[in-house]
This record gives sequence, C-alpha cells and structure tokens, in this order.
Amino acid sequence: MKPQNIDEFREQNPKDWKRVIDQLFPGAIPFHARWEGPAALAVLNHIGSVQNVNHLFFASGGGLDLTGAAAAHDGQTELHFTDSRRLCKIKSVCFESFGDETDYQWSYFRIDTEPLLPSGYAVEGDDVLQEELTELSPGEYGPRSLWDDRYEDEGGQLPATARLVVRLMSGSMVIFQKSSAYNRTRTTYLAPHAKLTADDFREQIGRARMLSQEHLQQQTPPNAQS
Amino acid sequence: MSSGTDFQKQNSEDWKKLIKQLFPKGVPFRARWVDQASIVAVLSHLGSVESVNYLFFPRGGGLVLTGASPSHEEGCIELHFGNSRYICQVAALTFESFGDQDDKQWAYFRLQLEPLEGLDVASKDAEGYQEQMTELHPGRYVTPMAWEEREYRGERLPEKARPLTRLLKGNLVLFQKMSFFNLVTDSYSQDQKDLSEDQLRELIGRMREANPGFAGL
Repeated sequence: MKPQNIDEFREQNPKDWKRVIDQLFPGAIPFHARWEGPAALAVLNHIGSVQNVNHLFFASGGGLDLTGAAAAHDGQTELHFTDSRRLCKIKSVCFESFGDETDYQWSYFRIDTEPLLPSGYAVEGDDVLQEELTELSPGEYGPRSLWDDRYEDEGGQLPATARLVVRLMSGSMVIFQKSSAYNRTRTTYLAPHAKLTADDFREQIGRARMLSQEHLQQQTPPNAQS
Repeated sequence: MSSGTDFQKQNSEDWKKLIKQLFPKGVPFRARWVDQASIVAVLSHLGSVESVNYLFFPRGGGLVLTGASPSHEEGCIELHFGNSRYICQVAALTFESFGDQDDKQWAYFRLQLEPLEGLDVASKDAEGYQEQMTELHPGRYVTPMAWEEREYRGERLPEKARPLTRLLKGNLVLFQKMSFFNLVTDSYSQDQKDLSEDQLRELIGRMREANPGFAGL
C-alpha cells in the first residue's frame, strides 16, 4: 500500500471505515448487532482486514490497531495487532450505529469479555485488567521474567513454542474509526468505555455525536448555508 | 410442483441464503433496525423470494410477506402480502438467531409495533388488534363496505381505491415458512405475542433446545 500523508489518510480513512461496515450489512445497517462464537471472530477479522482503518481501545487504557483474530485454546481468542497479540475470552462483539448514512465515524464495535482465571504469575504492579506472561505452550504459563531472561538462563532453554503474551483478564474493548473524533479525543485513552455499561456508553457516544453536530452547525457561517 | 420434501429443502436453503445476504461476514445473534428506510429494505429483502417466510399476526393467523414500502401515513409502512396491504408503524425490527451454522429455522424476525389510533370509519376485530377500511385516495379512508360493494355513497370507487388493513397494536414475528415454529406450534399463541424481545427469544431458544433434531415434516 502506498504510504499516505496525513491529509490523504484523513480523506481515505472514513471511506475505508464505511466500506468495512457496509460490507457487514449489505441489506441495511442496523442500529445494533451482536455476534457470538465463530461469527464474532469472522467480524473481527473483517474489521482488521483493511490496514490502518480502526483503533481498538483496551479496558486498561491505551489502544492499538486490530489486524485480526484467531481461536486459541480453551475457547479463548487471540487478538492480533500490528506488532503484538493479546489473549482474551470473548463473550460477544457488538456493533452500534446511529442511523447516519453520511457520517460513520460514530459507529463503533464493542467487545465484551469473560473473566480469565489469574495465572498466579502476575507480578506486583501489573494491571488487574491484564497480565504479561511467558506462554510456554498454549495454556501453560510462566512469569514474564522467563521470557525476558531467556538468553541468560543457563538452566534450560525455553520450548520453541514459548512467547510473550498479554492476557486481557476482563472488561470490554471498543473499536472506532481510526480518524474518528473519538480517537482524536485524548481522554478516550483512559478507557471511559470500560467504566460504563454497553447501554450507557452507547448513550454517551450518541450524546457526543449530537454535541459535535451542533458544534459544527454553529461554526457554519450563515451565508454558507443553502 | 415440488414435493413436500423438496420444498422443505428448498425453503431451508432459501431462508439461509436470505439471512446470509443480510450478514455475509457473520450472522449475528441479534440485530436491530429502527429507521424506516432500513426496516423497509430488510422486509423487502425477506419478501423477495417466493414463499420463504411466514409472518404471524398478534390476533392469530399469518400470511407470507412479499414486500414492504413506506406508507402515506406519516411514520408508517405498508406490509405487502400479495395484493393485500397492511399499514403499521414499526418501532423496531429485530433479527434473532442462535449461532446454528447449518440450520437457520430458529432464526426469526420480530416487528415491534407502535400503537396506532383506530379510525371511526374502520371495522375493528374484537380485541382491537386490527381494523379494515377502504382507501379512496391516499389517506382518505371510508367504511370497508365500500370495497365490498365497489361503490361509496352511490358512486363508483376511484380507480386507485383499495382495501386496507391497519395493525393497531401488538408485535409480529416472521419465521422460515417450513420451520418448527410454523409447522408444529401452529400459531403465534396468545401468551407469546405480548412477550418482550428478550422473553420471546428465551422462549424460542427453549423450543429449539427441546427439538434439536427437528428437520421438518
């Protein structure tokens, strides 16, 4: 893909996001949809299929661009990001929209997860919402230090399957258009979505959308109106 | 004409295809449309294949939905059943499914109606679920007898006159025609039509679990 400058990105990104959503619902875009099981993974893979289009916000704060998802051991899902992966147990993936056919930036997805059992290897200071561990083989964990010290450890090498994993222990994530107002708002990196129920968060986004539209209208000079 | 088994098979395939066309990337457990344009688009899609669905009315009985269009009445839509037209105001159209990959007979749609005020000229059923009338021109309604007699106050009916039904309250559900729900439960019973979205889903989910191998008649 040709590298985009910021102006090209801002122009292209809403179109890509709209296409991703239109392809999910060729008949008509619903206000709400909920997927579970394999269909939920298929939807996440679809969202991640176009480069640089989305941004996923974690329950513990911060975010990454989702590139895909795959089934993992014990009904868990591995979420793929540009340079990393995280494990979680998905309860459902929801889509929310507001009936706006011209502006999809307020349409978003929410991933709700089931709690994972603590591995027992988390170290003090780890976020309660995520654990960073060494995965020796699927489902078999060791402390993160095993991975960090893998070249120093004389006692024995890590198995070939070993890797560093982040486990998302509970809570919810939301996925927005990358160039959306939501992503450009600094405070959204503090994960306000994770402190609200799905319904309350939808209401907040709906309100933010209304406010931003009123704001835009106020900024339009009278002679620019048709 | 196809035999019963062939029709059953074809019907299941058609129904699956219609659903897959709505959600090609993954069929959700639930989807909800609330704007009129989307509701009309989805219902028209469901009516686009012959004899694939069956829509149950709250007063009992049902018809095969063949399409939908916006109504002359503000905020309302017209449901098409062949040549018959029913006017109603849909607050929400919901799709519900249970994650079955190969069998979509338990996947259904629910139309939540916004109550409409009845009209004096119309004739209502005993429980007030629906009323019938004759439309002389868009929005000009007179007694249903006018259509029966093909005249109103001694004058022949205008060319565009038509009989109409208005749905005044309750909720509708739409299933695959050759589904367990349609073939075995026979009708949308009294105790089902007043259930909420979630309550109905739970009930249908229980029926599905109690009849795991059901593959039609």
